Amino acid sequence: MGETSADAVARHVRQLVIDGVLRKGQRLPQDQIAAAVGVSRIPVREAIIALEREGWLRVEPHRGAFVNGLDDEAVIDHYELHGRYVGFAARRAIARMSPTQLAELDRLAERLAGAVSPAETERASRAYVDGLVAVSSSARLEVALRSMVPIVPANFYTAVPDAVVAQQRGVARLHRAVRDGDAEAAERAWIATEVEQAGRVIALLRAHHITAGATAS
Amino acid sequence: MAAGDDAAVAGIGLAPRRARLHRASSGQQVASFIRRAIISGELRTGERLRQDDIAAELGVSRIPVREAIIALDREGWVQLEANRGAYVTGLSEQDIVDHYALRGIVFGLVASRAARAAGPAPAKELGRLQRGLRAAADGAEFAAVNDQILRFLVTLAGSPRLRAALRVTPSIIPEDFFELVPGAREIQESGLAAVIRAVKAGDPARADRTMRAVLARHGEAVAGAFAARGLLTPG
Repeated sequence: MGETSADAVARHVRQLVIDGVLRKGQRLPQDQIAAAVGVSRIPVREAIIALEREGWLRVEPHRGAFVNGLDDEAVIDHYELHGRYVGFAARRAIARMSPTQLAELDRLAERLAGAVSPAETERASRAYVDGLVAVSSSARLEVALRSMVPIVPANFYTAVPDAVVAQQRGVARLHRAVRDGDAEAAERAWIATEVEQAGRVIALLRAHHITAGATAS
Repeated sequence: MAAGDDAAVAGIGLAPRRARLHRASSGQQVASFIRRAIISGELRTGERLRQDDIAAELGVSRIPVREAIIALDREGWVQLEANRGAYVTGLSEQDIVDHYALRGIVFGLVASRAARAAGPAPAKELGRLQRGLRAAADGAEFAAVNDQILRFLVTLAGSPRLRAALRVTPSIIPEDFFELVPGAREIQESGLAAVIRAVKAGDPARADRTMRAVLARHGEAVAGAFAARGLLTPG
């Protein structure tokens, strides 16, 4: 099923919050957003309902929708869950992959190891994880992952050089464990990487006053 | 728990509170009927669902039949194709095992968050609920108390994201689970006892691990039950 207009609006609003364009406490400019995404107000209203449920917005009757600001818990929950899902993908991939598929993962791992720019790091890292998920051949995992909303600030790798090295190291450890057929090690290594990156995302969001800190209002 | 929580937990694979006191909605009853027909072999893999016949047999309109089919499509029992109707898909062993492993991941995180939020008041409530579980007279009552425990853990965890994740992976056998799957009640009772111990002890890692283990055992039991009835499709 393709993305609905409401989905597109929700995705747009989330990224605006993550990038700090919409600030905590700010009232959502619904008409502007509708225009930016190219939809009517109806999908915007649907998106607001979904975003309120997800914790991104707070609706005050007759006043509008207000940005909650990300709290640390939300970021950590996201990365912990995503880390576990990818760990599951690694487990399945180890059990199911063919030599050809492993060779492809080798290639993707090498590509990330050789990445020189932050943008390339992001692309290559995503390609490796996507490749691993594809090899895992689990329709249900793909449904679960598709529903996860990414929380990656647009400037993450540019603004946080440590994040580049950490990602390269993390994927290398994950791939080594996958090659060794060690599902436990793969899961442990990858969850640790995601949790570590979550810490950096939180620090970055705090530095730009985007998060509410540990206690959301 | 506030009334709003009912809306929040409905759709994550737990029966809404009202369903314990009143009958399930027509759509849910139709879905239950179709699931049982598939499990008993009356409806075979690849068979097209005759929606009008089902509606007539159950004495309902097409609307709840349609609702049921949409739910069953999400759960993986049927495949709804735009112009062709709904077909019984059949689940593979891998599909079933994956489903419970993924549910285990999310519920495991819920349990670990609940363990972090644990204190004297939640511990007391969990003890009370656990006693209710042990004393349940039949499968329906067991399911109802089980729902209460899981709902309580989800509330303790306090994570909108985990709630959302649960909604995406609805249960394969939402109703009658403890009646349909041999050994499920024992697995759940002993498994939840271990999870509750870990939550009370404030041990997130152990709560996560034990919850994942419960769901993995359910996965094996369901796969075994399906295999025994010749219901598994290859792959």
